[in-house]
Amino acid sequence: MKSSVGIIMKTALKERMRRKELYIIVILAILLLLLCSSDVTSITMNGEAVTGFSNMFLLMHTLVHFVGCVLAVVLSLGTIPKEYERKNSHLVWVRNISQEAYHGGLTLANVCASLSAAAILYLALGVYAVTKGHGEVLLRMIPAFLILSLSISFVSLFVSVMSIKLPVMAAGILGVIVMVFGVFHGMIGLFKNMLGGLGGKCMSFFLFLVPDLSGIQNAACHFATGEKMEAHLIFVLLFSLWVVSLGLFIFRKKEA
Amino acid sequence: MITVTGLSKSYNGKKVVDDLSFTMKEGKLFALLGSNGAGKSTTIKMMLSLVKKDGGRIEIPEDALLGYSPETPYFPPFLTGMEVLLYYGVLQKIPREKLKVECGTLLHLVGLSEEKTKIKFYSKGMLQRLALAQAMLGNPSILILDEPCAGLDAMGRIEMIELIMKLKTAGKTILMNSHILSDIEKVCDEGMIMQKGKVLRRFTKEDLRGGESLETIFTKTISGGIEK
Repeated sequence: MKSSVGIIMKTALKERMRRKELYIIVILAILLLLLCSSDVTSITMNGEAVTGFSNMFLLMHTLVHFVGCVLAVVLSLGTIPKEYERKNSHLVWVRNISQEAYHGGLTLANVCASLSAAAILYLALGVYAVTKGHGEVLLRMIPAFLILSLSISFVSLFVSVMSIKLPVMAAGILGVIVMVFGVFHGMIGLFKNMLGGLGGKCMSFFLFLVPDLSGIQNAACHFATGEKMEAHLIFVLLFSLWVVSLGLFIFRKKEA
Repeated sequence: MITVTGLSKSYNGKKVVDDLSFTMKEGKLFALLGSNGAGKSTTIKMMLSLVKKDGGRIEIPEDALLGYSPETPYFPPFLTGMEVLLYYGVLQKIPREKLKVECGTLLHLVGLSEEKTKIKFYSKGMLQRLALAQAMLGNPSILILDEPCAGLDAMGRIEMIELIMKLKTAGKTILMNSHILSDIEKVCDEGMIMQKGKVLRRFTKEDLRGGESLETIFTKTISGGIEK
């Protein structure tokens, strides 16, 4: 099973790397780098202009996380449905490869592709730190990226698992909803309090189900800048990753 | 020997395979004929467990390995023919030390041994030949070929039929589905003509020796619509 998962993942990943998304990511990373390198004073946070390294770093970190999650949805959405559409699944199923191994390999490829895309974006952030004379954060950015990668892996895993059972469009919409609730967890929490009523209750329910990805992003950013971080969120997300990965064993295709 | 008894399948209440029974003898080529929508591909997919059957029984010897060549094969375009075979060979759990030699032999057999080009540059004929090569990985005793000559030019068809004849001579049991009746006529030992999921007529090589061509039998059967 191990070698089957490995070769399915390797081949699917090779295919992802040849697609145009990768070039879009590189362009995005360069744009982000250009934006970071210029002294932007028109961006405001709580009414104050965002200036200085720590503020800009926080802003860019949030942006990298958001774009990384969007890319995770885009990169993970079509892989499994496309395998069935092309009927590549026929040649895999006839070889008695279990659906868990097949879908697992493809999902791992999605997660790896999403993390590679996020790594390119994160690299741009590192270059920004160095150009601003804050090279000391570079070493801390490596474990910080590992923390951030949990969040991106969650989005990729969730979308991949949903795409086994749901049509592409439905899986995409659900993925975007989960991503928005996760990435803007704190902000939506505040909005929910203002809203009240049934809408507020629905939001509370979603916020309960979706892990706090914004909290993970903050934790990663705080780790990179040497501030105190909330470690318990990492354990919550690891648990969420385990729960979602169970979908690989629960959701099954009836026909190849 | 493969025995199919009372096989049936419906999609949205419409029967696509209806109480289908047939037997495939060891070392023989059995042909499935019929117009589009006759239920040939669904039958093949049920035999390969790619589609769940609603009813009936498919008896395949437990130790028999099945090889399958699809009608429209898709292979990752950035791989070479050798890499494709290695990929499926690993999935099939063929020991690595044996696999490379086997892949080379199979590529040679289907006439692709010299090909170092990526799949994206393959012609339809080359893809079909590669599909046949991957079906033969692990030396299966039963081959299921879904439209192996589809999209091939005259020369490609001749070569493919020669290859299938070679496989038959080597003792493989083959189930072949094709629209090209003249090709089927050359290689088949027995077969059946299907329409709307039902068997309209069964035939053997001897029936074809009787003077009527398969094309005549097919046309008469389809317009008549009665099982013989």
